[in-house]
Formats: sequence, C-alpha cells, structure tokens
Amino acid sequence: MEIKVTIMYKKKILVIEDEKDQLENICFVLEQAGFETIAANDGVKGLEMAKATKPDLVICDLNLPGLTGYEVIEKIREDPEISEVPIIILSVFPQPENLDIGLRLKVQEYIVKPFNFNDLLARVKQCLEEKK
Amino acid sequence: MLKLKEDVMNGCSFVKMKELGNGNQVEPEARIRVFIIIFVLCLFISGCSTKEGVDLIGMGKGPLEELLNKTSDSPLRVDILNELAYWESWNGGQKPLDYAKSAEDLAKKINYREGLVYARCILGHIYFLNGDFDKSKLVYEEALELLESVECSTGKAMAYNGIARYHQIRGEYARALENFLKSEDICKNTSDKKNKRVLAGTYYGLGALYYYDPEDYQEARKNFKRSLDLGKEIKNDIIITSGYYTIGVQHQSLEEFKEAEENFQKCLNLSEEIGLIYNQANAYEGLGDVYVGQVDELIGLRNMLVGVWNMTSELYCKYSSLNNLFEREYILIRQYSLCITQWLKFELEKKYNAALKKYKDSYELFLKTGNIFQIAEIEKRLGRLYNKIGDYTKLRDNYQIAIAYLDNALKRAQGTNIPKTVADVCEEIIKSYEALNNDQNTSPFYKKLLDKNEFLRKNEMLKQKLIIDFKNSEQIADNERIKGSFLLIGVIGLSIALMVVLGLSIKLRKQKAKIEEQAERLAEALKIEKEISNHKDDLMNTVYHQYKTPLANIDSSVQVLKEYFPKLSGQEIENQFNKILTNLEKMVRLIDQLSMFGKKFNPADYSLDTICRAIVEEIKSNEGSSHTIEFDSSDYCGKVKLDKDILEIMLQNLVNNAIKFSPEGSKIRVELLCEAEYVVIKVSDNGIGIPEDYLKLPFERFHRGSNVKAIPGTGLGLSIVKRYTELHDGDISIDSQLNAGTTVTIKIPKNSHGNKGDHNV
Repeated sequence: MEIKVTIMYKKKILVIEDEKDQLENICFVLEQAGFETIAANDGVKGLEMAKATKPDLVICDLNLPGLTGYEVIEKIREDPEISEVPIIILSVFPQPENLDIGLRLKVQEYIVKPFNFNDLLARVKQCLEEKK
Repeated sequence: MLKLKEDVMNGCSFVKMKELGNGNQVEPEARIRVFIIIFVLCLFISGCSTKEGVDLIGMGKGPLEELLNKTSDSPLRVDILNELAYWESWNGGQKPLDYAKSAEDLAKKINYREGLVYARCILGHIYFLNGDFDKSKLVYEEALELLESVECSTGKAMAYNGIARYHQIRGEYARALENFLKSEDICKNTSDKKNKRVLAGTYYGLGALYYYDPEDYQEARKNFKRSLDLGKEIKNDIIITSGYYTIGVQHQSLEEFKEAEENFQKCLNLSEEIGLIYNQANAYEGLGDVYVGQVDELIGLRNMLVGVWNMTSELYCKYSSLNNLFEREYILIRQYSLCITQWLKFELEKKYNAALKKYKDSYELFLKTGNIFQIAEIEKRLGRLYNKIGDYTKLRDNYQIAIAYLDNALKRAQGTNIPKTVADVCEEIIKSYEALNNDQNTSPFYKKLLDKNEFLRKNEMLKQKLIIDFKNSEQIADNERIKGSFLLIGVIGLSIALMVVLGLSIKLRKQKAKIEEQAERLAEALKIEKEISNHKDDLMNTVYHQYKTPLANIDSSVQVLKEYFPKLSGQEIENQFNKILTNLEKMVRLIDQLSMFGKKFNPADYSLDTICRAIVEEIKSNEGSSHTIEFDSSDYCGKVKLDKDILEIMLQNLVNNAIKFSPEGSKIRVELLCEAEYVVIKVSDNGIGIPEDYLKLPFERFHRGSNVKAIPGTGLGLSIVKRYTELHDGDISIDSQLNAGTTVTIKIPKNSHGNKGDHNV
C-alpha cells in the first residue's frame, strides 16, 4: 500500500521591523493573506529568528537597533543554511542609486515606506513563486 | 508621491549644497581674512625708546596731540609725531603721511637716527594700508639698511615684521614665516613695552599663518589670544580692538555665530569710543558676515520644512476619504507649518537687511579711510550678498546691483594686484551673470547680455590666468620651503653635533616633544572637524527618518482600517485609531520643537519643585516605555525665575535621551538640589554612556557618539538644552562612563533675570 504523506504548511515570513505599530500591521495583513509570521523588533533578534526558524521569506527594515538591516542581510547571506532565502527590504529612504541591491545583497525587492499593502502582498507572492 | 519625493530631495540637496558651499566659501574667505588680519600686524609701529620715559603707547590720539603742542624739537617730539602718524594711518587721508614726513625731517635735523628708522617703518606701514605694497617693501628694506649702523632691537623687529607682511600678502608663506620668527626672536623675552607691542603684532602674524597654511585654528586662536592679552597688558586700544576682531573672525569661520557676534560687537564698541574708524569698519563687516552665515542656516531649515509639509499634505490628500478621522491634527500641523514659515520669512528678511546695513556702514567707513584693498573686499561682500538676495527674492535687480558693486571691486583689486581677490571677485561676478542669464525675463536685454557674455569669456580667461599665477606663486613658495628645509637640515645637523658636544641634548629632546605634541594636536583637531562634518551629513538622514516614520505608521494603520474594516473587532479598531493618534502626536511634537525657534524668552517666578514634578509626570504619561522615572527633591528651593515652556523642553530632551540610551526597565533619576546661589537639576541614567572622544564635544550640534548608530536621533538635543540653559544664565555639565551611565547637571542661578530680556529662543 502506498502511503502518500503531504504535509500542508503555511509559508513562514519573518518580519524584522523596530516600529511596533508598523510591525503589528504588517504581520496582521500577512496573516490575513494566509501566511505564518514571525516578528522581530531589532536586528539581533531578527538574525537569531532567521537562523532558528528558517523562514521562507524575510521582510527587513534598514534602520534597526542592534544590527542594521544591511548587517542582518549580510549575515543571512553568509550562513549556508539560510543564505538562499528571498529578502524584501522596507525603508523610509529611497533606494540608494549607487547600490545594486540585487547584485551585492541578492535582495529581491526594495520597498519605500509609506507603502501600499496590496503592493507588498503582490511582491511577497512573486518572491515566493520565483523561489519555487 | 513622485513630486513629493522631489521636493524632499530638493530640500536635502539644498542642505548638502549649502554645506559644500560653505566648505568652498569659507576657505577663500579665510584667505582674504588672512590678508585683512595682516594689516593688524602694523600695530607694532612705535618708538624704540623715549628717553623721557613717557608712556606713549598707552595714550590715545587726543592726549598725543596735546603733548605734541607742548613739546619742542627733541627726540620725544619725533616719537610723538611717529605715534600720531601711526594712529592716523588707520583713519586714512593725507594726515598720516604729513606726520610721518615731519617726523622724518625732524629726526634728520636733530640727527636722531632711531627716530628716523621708525619714521621709515611707519611710512612703509602707511603705504601698505593704502595698497601700495611694493613701495612699502622698499621702504622697509631701506630701514633695514639704516639699521646696520644703528643699534635698535625694536626697529629691527618692526622692519622684519613689515617684510613678513609683504610676503604673506603675496602668498609666499615660507618667507613670511622666516621673517616673523626673526621678529619674534628679537622681542621674545622682553619687558619693554614697545617691544611688547611689536611682539603682539608678531603673534597676529603667526596666528594668521597658522590660520591659513596648516589651517590649525586652535594654534591660530592661541596666538591671537596671546596678542590680545599683550594689548591689554600694555593698554593699547588699537591692539585690543584688532584682537577682538580677529577672534571674532575665528569664531565666524567655525560657524560659532554667537561668539563671533560678541567679539565683533566688543571691537565695534571700543573702536567707536576711541574713534578708530578702521576697526569700526572691520567690525561692521564682521557683523554683516555673521548675519549672512545665519541666513544660510535659516534657508536650510526653511527648505527642510517645506519638504515635510509637502509630505504631510500629500498623505492627507491620498486618504481624503478618511479625512474626518484626523482633520483636527492635520489642521494643527498646517497651522504650525504656516506659523514657522511665516516666522522664517520674517527672520530671513530681518537678517538680510541687518547684514546689508552692516556692510553698507562698513563700506562708508572704509571709503572714508581710503584703504583700496579693504574697499574692494567690502564691495565683493556686498556683491555676494546681493547675489544671495537675488536668489531668495528672484528679483533680477539685485543681480544688477551686485554686478555694479563687483565691477568696482574688480577695478580696485586689479589695481592692488592681489591675484586671489581678483579671482574671487570674478567668480562672484560670473555667478551674477549666470543668474541673469537663467532668468527668463531677461530677453529684452538680450543685446546687452551679449556684451556681458563677452565680458564673461574674457574674465573667465583672466580668472584662469590669475589662478595659475596664484598657484605658481604658491609653488615658488613651496620650492623655497623645500630649499629652506635642506638648509635647515644642515643647520640642525650641525647644531645637533654642537649640542651633543655641549651636553645640551636634553633641551633638544624637549623641543622635539613639543613639535610632536603640536603635530598630534593638529591631527586631533582635524579628526574632530571631520567627524562633525560627517555628522552633519547624518542629520538629513535622521530628520528624514524621524518625520517619515510616523507618517508611514499612520499610512499603514489607515490602510488596515480601510481594507479589513469588516474583519476587525471593536478592540482592534480602537487600537488602530490609537496608533494613528500616537503617531500624529509624535509628528506634532517634532513640529512643536521646530516652532520653539520663534518664541520669545519669557521668564516668570515659578516654584521649581512643583513645575519639575509636573513635567516629569507628563513625560511619564506620554512615554510608553518600561523605564522607571524617579523624581526626587529633598529641599525646597523657593521661587526661581525661569521660562516654563523652555524648562519643559530641556527636561524632556534630557529624560528622552536617558530613555533612549539606557536598557529597558532601568531607572532614570531626576533630582532637584538647592545650593546657596543656585538650583541644580540632575538627570541620571544607567545607560550606554558616552565614549570619551564624544565627551569633548557633547554640546556640538549634530554631533553624536560613536556608539549610538542604531538609535535614532538628530544630534540636536544636547545643543538645544545647552542653549536654553544659557538663556537662564545657567551652566551645564556632563559626566559619563561608558556602559555605566550618564549624568547631566544643570545649574541655574536663583536670582537670574534671564540672559537678555527679549531674546529669541
């Protein structure tokens, strides 16, 4: 008898953001869209969570206490276990012109705050598709 | 949103440009300043030794004239004539030349050879002030020749000084230094008053050299102070006023406007009192510079504000369907913004007018004294100011006025043949023409413009040539310095051998240590300077971040409410509204702080104990953090005169700092102590502390410690607190240990009446 075990699981998204209000709202919207979320409110915790939970996607603010967003991303890319995870940057600053984020940090998306949640969701889904 | 970003970025780039601009402007400014300061070197002129022992140096112009009438033909009369020539030289005209000539004739007649030497030196000084530099040098060299047969240390020092000035204004710094050092050597260990006056002049010269060549402002300021102190010691008002002026210039180039203004004002008051037109004009010019500097600061602020306001209204329009939710706050923000913009406009125009008035006062006075070089200098400044006013008002007339002034300045500067000034003026004039060219309304003047373009091309070439000349002269000076240093190495080698033989190596070691120490200090000063400029770059980022973050938070809550309204529970909806409200409050607080700029300082009697307690309670209720804030006042201090709103901001800043930089849940202490004359407020925490390198400049604007990168802030907090403490006549000090905690102590005198009655905050 052939047993087919399919484990259905929600995609896990790690959100690293130091503004509590913003963090709660992002998690709320993602959960409403059927994702599982893990919240971290500073860079150090964010990196720990990334290593411990191995998320399917990371959404990361740049201006973070502890470790800056760039530092978190670099450390994630150095860790072979999670180095392939897609990352979306969220920042109040416009994307620096001289920084090719795709090339240097292998970051998929750069979103400037304030942002539209539908846009965020669309990009999240696109990132997860591409990963497959 | 695209437009919005552009606006904000325009704001950013303006501030950046301003900083760049300062970097480029202050430097040529500094060069010119040096030239001006050099004039001050002329202070040394005086008699070598008057046998009768009358104190001519401490005397004003009036008493000297009186004394002259009472004196018959004698060496004393020559000395008095010399002193008078020196005095009048500052006020220009034919008078100083007459005095100097009659001093010379009389000295020849009675064969008073020392007197003859001074008369020559004063003549050189007068020629120098009139912009006739070559003639001035010639006369000084003649004096040196005379000195081969006359023994007079002061005269020799004066002549070397004069020659040093000549080289300095030509940009030949190595030669200038050499001659200044010769002069210093002669007068260094003197107790003679006249020699001290020469020494004061030499310190000015050395200060100017440090100021320009290695740009060692600390060392320059030290030399200027030395000179001022000497001036006070020998009670010579000319040296004292010039001292205040140069120290003001120092502060001005470091953008310490308040200190600069104070010193210029001191110079102005004293010069007016003694009737020294030259330094009075200098002081007016300095004050004008201060106001221009402040205008630049205000414009930066205004552009920032415009960016913030555009952002707010854009967001508001984007969610117009939810307007009624935060209409009240929106209107509040708008009112604040309008208020501030109005105030800024008012303040800007006030400053422009003040600067203009000071420059014109200065211009008038210099026209009276007839110092061509100084007149060119002030015309250049007037031109530059009119260019700025043109940029601000967008009225083309201003550029035309600027061109008129600059044209004059150019003619004069070409006459004095100082390449750097000509180059500066050309640069400014080209700016005016470019502005006129870019102005679309200029078309009726098209034909005229063609001529101007011709001028532009010609002058561009002239400018290039001048710059090359100037560079060449610098290069020659450099080569000389290299040659000089070979010679120096030889001399040093020889003297080392001698010293070792003589067992004097200890002395040498001391000297070496001193040189090393100086180099170290220079490196240190440069490092701090660089850090400050880095922090200024950070400022735009942090301000941007601070304003945009609450807006982004509001935006996201509004979206959640809009999209998920039916799914939200009553509690969740309330939460979202609360988020919007707290973030709006954050915005209002930020704008509130900006609005404090326009407030008048308004002290009244308050019981400090009650008021501090109330403020701490308010902070506690506003802060959602887990910190414990303790308030402790064991003594009752009685009533103290202070401004409640300002005290509130001071305490808020200090407590917010303590919260930001200490771990969650830790304790923050606000303590109130009574001393005989003072009340003392202490705010302490157990936070990350302040690194030693930062403790040197904790009150510097935009300066942030190296360990606070991840914690948002503008680096303005402590500088605001310091300024407000000063308004209360108080003192502020800071005591900190890395990773152990920080205590900020504020002392306010009990019977303070506030710094200045209607001072702007």
